Amino acid sequence: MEIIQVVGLGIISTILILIIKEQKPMFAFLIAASTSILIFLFLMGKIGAVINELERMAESAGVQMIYLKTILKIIGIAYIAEFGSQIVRDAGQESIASKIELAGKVLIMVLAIPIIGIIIETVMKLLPA
Amino acid sequence: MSWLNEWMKEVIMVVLLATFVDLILPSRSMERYVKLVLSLLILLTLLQPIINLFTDSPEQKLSAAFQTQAMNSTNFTNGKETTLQQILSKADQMKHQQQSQSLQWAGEEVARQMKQQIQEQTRSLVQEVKVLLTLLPAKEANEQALPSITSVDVVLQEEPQALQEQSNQDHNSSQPILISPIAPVKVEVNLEPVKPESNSRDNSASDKKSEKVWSPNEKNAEDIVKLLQMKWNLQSEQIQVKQSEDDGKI
Repeated sequence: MEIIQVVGLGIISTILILIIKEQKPMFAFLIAASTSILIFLFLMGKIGAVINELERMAESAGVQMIYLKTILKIIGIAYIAEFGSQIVRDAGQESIASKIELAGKVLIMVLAIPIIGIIIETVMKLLPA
Repeated sequence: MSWLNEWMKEVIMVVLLATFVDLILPSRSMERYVKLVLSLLILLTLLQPIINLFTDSPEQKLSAAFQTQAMNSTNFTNGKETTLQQILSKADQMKHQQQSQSLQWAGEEVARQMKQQIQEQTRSLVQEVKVLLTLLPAKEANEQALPSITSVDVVLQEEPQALQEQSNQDHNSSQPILISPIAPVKVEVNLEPVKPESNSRDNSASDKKSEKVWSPNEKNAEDIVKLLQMKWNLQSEQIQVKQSEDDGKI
């Protein structure tokens, strides 16, 4: 029944924001940001359980840990970039939000560079010189 | 066929993980990029047998590449924090080293003093005193950890009167005058009552040994233990008095 807690927290903070927005837009933003951080922290434990289970599974199946690590890094970057950009977008700073998203995309691409390097190296070795 | 088995397992697991990641992705905006990286990973796992044929295993290369990447990025962006952490860990290491060194030094010093005291008080020759110090964890936060003596090993040399009577110049060889010089002597005075078998074993091993050697030794050892207990506030089970064991050379 944790979903009820999360939804209740969201609805209450939405109502508070609606009330306070006319007088103090600054505080409305603070409430929004802290609510999203709270929900994020609330989910952190669940995400940890999921990741532990995934790791256990991968280990028992004999998957190399480096693959799992890469995949988990991708999820982490995606989630954090999304979270930050949405908070900034709520505050009305569309351009900064898009920059955060750009940073997330670039960092995900950086993870791909060593993989691309290995594949290209192999292909070059496959071809006759 | 086991490599095929392994390879299939790996491919299936990576594809499953990739699908899972695709499901839990937060937004559509990242989707293309994430999909690119995931498909590259799947390609890598599919190519793994071929890569293994030509070069060493891709996982090791990948991890090495990631490590160099991480090192470069930390040097570039937050080099200060990492260096601070490195400095702190180094300082911790040095502190440990220093502590162990000073403990060792203190142990040697205590051993020297004990040796002097024993020689003055009981007039028995002491070959070696070994003191083992350990740090007791502090009871309170502002208190420093206190070193304490965990064990004291006293190795006694030859009985003085036996030494005087001994014609042999080598003072290390510990044969009393009463027995033939070839027979090895090994006396271990162990005052702990829990291990009587070591005494009996020693006695039976060298049953030729006369009681004259045995009893003054024991008395001496008792004296030494009492002295150390009184002067250094120790428990009797922490102290061990032994006869020197250099008779193995003969």
